[in-house]
Amino acid sequence: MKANPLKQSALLAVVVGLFFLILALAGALAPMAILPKLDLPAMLALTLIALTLDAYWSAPKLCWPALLSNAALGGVVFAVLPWCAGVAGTIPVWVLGLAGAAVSGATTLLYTAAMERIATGPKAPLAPAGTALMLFLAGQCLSGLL
Amino acid sequence: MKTKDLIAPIVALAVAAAVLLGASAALGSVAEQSETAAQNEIMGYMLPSRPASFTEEPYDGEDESIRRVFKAEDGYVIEVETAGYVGPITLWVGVTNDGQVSGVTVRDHQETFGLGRGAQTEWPFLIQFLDTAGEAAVGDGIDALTGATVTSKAVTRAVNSAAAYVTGADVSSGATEWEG
Repeated sequence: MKANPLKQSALLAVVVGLFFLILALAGALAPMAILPKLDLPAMLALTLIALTLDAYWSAPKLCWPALLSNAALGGVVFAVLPWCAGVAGTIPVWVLGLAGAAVSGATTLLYTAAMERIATGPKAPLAPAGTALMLFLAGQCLSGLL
Repeated sequence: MKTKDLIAPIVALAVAAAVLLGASAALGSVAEQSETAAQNEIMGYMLPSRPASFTEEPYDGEDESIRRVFKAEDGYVIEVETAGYVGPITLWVGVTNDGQVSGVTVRDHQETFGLGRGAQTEWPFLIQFLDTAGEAAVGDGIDALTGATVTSKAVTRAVNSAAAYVTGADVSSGATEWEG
């Protein structure tokens, strides 16, 4: 059976949903704890976790229609779920959606391109996690400059 | 890519949204109660008499860094927000009625791991502010966190703002108006 090219978006919804559920529980049970905020590095990290899970499931391949659809769905995930969890704060939903779509699309493109060219091959045990870690470090530096 | 491929992400998104809405509704009142209890407990440690309750006072002074003011019998706990290296840093500063800082705690920040994050966890840094009265300065009695001078100066500025509220250096201070 052919893999669903939008499976990554489903995984992203699950990962982001779990992240906000943990934040909601921590916020209720330990209200004085300093919790992570939904900023660009957090969006990047969540997207990379979803991509890594997806890569262990099936080797990623660059497909432009799927990439654009995943970016759009990523925007919807990052716009809707923070609002549902009540953690969006003062950030407008459309800003979260645009940022989520941009981060999700760019990260998917870079991650898939890197995985296709990785010397050990995309099925090497550490390749998906290692690629994600490198991209996270690079993205964190970039968001610091922004 | 087919239209039916959309089913999986849409179902996952709908389920996640429903779970989060439910959790948000169920935990809302619990979160509010826990926050009030934890807030009073932490603030209680910030003044010498360990007060059990505080009264929030309105602040309409000129110092834009002061967010909220809580009054107890022997002093104030003042919530101050200042610009750190990465983003805003929110602190609670306990100041006694005679203007001396009696407690400092970082409530929120986004500072860098291993550097500015020390403002929250490095006790030797925070302890330096105790018993100051608005005159604290990095390099003059206050040693900065290693590799985090901007964060250290931001915290110092915030602590001085809080002390100024009580000493009267902040001309619109509700504390000094209250003192007459």
